[in-house]
Amino acid sequence: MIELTPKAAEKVKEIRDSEGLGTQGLRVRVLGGGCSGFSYDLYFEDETTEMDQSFESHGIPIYVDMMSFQYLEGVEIDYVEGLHGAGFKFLNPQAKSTCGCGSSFSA
Amino acid sequence: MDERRLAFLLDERVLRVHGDDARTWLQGQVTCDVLLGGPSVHGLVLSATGHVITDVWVLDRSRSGETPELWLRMPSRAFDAAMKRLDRFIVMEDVELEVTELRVIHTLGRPTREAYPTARLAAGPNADGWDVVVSDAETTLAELEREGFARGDDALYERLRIEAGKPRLGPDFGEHTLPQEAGLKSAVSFTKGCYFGQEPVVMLEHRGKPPKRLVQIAPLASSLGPVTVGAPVTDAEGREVGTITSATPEAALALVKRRALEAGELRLNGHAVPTRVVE
Repeated sequence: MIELTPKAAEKVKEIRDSEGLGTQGLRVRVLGGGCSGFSYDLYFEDETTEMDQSFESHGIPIYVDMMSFQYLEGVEIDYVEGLHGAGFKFLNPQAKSTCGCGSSFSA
Repeated sequence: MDERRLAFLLDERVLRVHGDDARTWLQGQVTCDVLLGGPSVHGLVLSATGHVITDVWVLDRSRSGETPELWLRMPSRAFDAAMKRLDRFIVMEDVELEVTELRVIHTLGRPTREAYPTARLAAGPNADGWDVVVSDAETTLAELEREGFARGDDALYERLRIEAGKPRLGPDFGEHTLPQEAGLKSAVSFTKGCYFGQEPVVMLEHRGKPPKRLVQIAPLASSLGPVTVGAPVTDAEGREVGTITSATPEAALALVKRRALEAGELRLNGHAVPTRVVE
């Protein structure tokens, strides 16, 4: 399962509406890279494949390929704002560590 | 023997990285900036703690409009460990790693034939060095001999390397060495963004100092007696502050404590020796 916090879902809807993307879902991926080895990737998409796991959180469809899902099961995606910036934050129970900026993790 | 016309078969292997995401994926795996372009760039594959698994030369072999293809040259001794480390971080990217049979020949003096796949000033010990990456090393070596190149052996290559102050994976740096300790900063881009193992390297660069430094000790006076790998380097008070990592009769490389280097002279066999930090 992958979930959005209410604040993250609200932000996703806001971005989706501002871009005129209708009811597109959120694609969540893991890529190799970043200081700790793996990094997160988010973008809108309206197509899925048979290799995808699909979820819905606060009305937002979420699509995850099976390779990425092994690193993402149980993830909660939050949206945080602070003096040093704003962005989506991944709370990943499978991450052994994260880099200083939080954009990558090790598993 | 004319040392300006020598050919050495290097103990290196070549990994082929190809796929639509090859460049951007590799950018996150090695320390050098592979997106800058150019035929060849020196970089490092690091562990999570920022220590060096291997150094690599990244050769961009992509042709315009075709799927990106890069070759990673690296010492044979590190190939399996580097391959394992790199393969672990391919998730959903369109990237494939392929072990090749390509070999690397280093020449002192530029080969005249234009048919060689790659010839470029690169990793060798001499400013007039060129690297040739080929599928059939013996045939190319025979062609080079016909061009007037003599075949050099490993011992001569090592002598030239050490006297030029070039560190080598294995004797001079490796899994217990940080890039800044081994004079490998030129293989690290501090502007390209994130790559695996970046944080310890950047923290050391901006907040600290390397605990050790690689130095070249040259010339070695005959009064020093034989200098061998593993021999201790001491400070003026006779305290051991480092170790010889590579040596020839003329020059040596040693990994020494930075504080001792900053404090004053270093000694070998009780004699003060001239040192130069490898940068």
